[in-house]
Amino acid sequence: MTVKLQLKGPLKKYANNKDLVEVKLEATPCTLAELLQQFNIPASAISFITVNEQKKGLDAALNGGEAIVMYPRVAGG
Amino acid sequence: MAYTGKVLRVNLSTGKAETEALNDKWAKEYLGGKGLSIKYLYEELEPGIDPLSEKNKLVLMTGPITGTIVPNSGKLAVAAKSPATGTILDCSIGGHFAPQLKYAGYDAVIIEGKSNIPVYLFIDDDRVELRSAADMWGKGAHETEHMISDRLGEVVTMAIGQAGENLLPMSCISTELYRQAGRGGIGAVMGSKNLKAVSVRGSKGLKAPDIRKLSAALNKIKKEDTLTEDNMWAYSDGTPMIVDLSQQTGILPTRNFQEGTFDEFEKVNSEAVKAVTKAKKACFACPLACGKYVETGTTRVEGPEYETIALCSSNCGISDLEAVLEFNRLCDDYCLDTISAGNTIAFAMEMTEKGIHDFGIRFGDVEKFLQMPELMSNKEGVGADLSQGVSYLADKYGGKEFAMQVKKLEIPGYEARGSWSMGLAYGTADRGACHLRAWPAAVEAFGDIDPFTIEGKAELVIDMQNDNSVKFSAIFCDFWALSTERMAEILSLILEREVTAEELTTIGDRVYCLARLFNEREGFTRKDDGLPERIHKDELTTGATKGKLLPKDEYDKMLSEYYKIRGWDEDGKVTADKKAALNL
Amino acid sequence: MKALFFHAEKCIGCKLCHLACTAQNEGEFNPRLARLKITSHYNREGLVVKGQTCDLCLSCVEACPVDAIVEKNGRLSFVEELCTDCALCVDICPNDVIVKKEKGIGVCVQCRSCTNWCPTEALTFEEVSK
Repeated sequence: MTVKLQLKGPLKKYANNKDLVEVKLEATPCTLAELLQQFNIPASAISFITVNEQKKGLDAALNGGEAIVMYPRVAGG
Repeated sequence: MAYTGKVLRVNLSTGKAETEALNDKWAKEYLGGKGLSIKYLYEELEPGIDPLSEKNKLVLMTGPITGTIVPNSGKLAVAAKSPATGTILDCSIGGHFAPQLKYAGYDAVIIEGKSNIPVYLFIDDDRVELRSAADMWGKGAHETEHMISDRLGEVVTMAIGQAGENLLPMSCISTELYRQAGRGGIGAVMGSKNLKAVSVRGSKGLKAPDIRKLSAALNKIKKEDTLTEDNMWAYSDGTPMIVDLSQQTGILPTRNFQEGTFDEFEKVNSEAVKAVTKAKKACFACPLACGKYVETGTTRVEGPEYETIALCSSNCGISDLEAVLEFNRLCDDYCLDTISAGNTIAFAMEMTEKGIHDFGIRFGDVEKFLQMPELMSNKEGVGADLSQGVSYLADKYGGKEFAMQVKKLEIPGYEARGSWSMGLAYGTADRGACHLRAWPAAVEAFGDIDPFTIEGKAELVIDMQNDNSVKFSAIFCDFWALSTERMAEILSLILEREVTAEELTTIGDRVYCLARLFNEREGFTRKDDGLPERIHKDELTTGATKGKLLPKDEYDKMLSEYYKIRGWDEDGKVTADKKAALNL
Repeated sequence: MKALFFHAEKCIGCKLCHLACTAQNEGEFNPRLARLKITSHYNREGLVVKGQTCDLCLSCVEACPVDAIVEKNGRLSFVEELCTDCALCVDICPNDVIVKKEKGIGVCVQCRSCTNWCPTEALTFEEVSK
């Protein structure tokens, strides 16, 4: 099973600076936290993640076919 | 090292410049920057003065870490009574001015009175001169800086453009062309004093007992805590990164805050800006370099920042990046605050489209949009009205319910209906609607705290306001997300005594309450802490915030809780107990 | 022999190198006394980034009439007791990175404080091709 993963801004470096990657899940269902692990992305680098346009927590389950976007941590405003 | 112990006091009426000792007791209680400049103004300004009269004072204040190798320590506080709001006003400006002032031997400059001819102030170590600015008056801040550099060589300059000369309540001060003390009409304070610019050059170093050990400790902190994952957005993208986050969470102000998403955001987001970015530029001692120098066929500018994009692009319905860049450059040169300018133009656009008053400009009208900085700064044609800001326009022509301001300061780039704590942050910000006193959107709309409840929000906003008050007093840059504990660790090294996080939180509270007391003395109370009606009554219609508003009764409850936790009474006045607890 | 190289395209103009240099060599934070000159500023034409560093050309060593500047194993050192304050080295340095002090001068001694602090690897130590 695969998901489409889009990484914003500085997070792109975790996918060889690609905007959008097709990710094969190691096992399904898997959680967003596990997906972060798969890409070695520390949770501290993330503001929020959307799954099919909805903001989801790290324990959200993925079954394949989802579109995931990860937004980086920002500060100051 | 932490303080030079000297304040330069310049009286423009008499032409006299004198040095005096820094008030040590105040420095201990307020650190520097924001806090200390507010303290000086609170003690020295008569209540009720006209901010544009010679009785107002302009304070340039460094902090204990300024000029050292502490990362992100390059900022300067610029403070006065605000011409826009009548409240206390402190701005934070980057670039390289603050360290030069410290190297010239001063912690602060206090500028008083009014010159009868246009002048600029030149500080060259112990030599302090007022020089004629006759040939610069009427010129933009950019040419002014270049002219001064032609004459004086390597100096750092802060200057005003035509907007400041013409006393606009949205005029700012620029340094190194593209960095600003932006809000509340701080540029008009200089303009009212006939002060075109301040230039500085310093050659005195800051000594520390064991400076190699200190540097090594700070380099370790820089590597472990500054150049880290949660700060690298500033280097890789800068503030335009926030466009995508705001769009996704439905808090990107669009068409005068009628919506929280902008269909064409991808034309003006970080990816779009990156495509024309030529170089990254940092303030003094900053490893993060949030400044992005952009060049296109038609314009060049350092920017645009997120706030400029939010207020001048989506909020004006302008999706042409080239136009936004050029507008940004013009504002920086004329010295217009892009937040207030964009917000005001968007209001005029809605008024025109609704047929309430014809300002001759509509959403998305690029040609008229690009004429506005000049018209407003020179108070010509329709610009004469627009130059006075959104509150003035609403008083004169109507539309008060969608005049997006608090205390007459235009609201910046986060929609309060999609981030309720931002509403409280705007309502209780000391200088009117400001996102820098607290930026809870980061943990609420962009984090995992529910944006659509008031629960826990008062405490959240207070904690952030106190923390930022310390940050802006030390002065650390806002973009380094460092903890209070880390600030305490660094200040312990710099002040050579043990500073605790608790002590800093108390200082932050004290600074914030003193700012409140300044405003209280000027007649501000609970009635001034309200938000525009649109936020309470008009539901947003798109994206993640579709159907959302911030109900008035919920806001009032949140505000009451805020006062209670702050130790202020139901009318928002600092209680006697609170004053006693903070030595106020 | 290795020397200090500057890569303008990576420089952000933060001056941390100047601060690191003077903290190490002068015991104070004072960018003006740094033994390198990195500037990043806007003129009427746009952003100008420039860097001057010691490239070990050894002009100073040759010029010094009293051998107060010595090169050993690819590193300069300064012998203050010998210096007569003639400042010939300051004048002759083609990169203008020798600092004249109240007493004596300062030359880059390759302490690497600057490269250690530079956040963007705009300063590097590399082999000098001769």
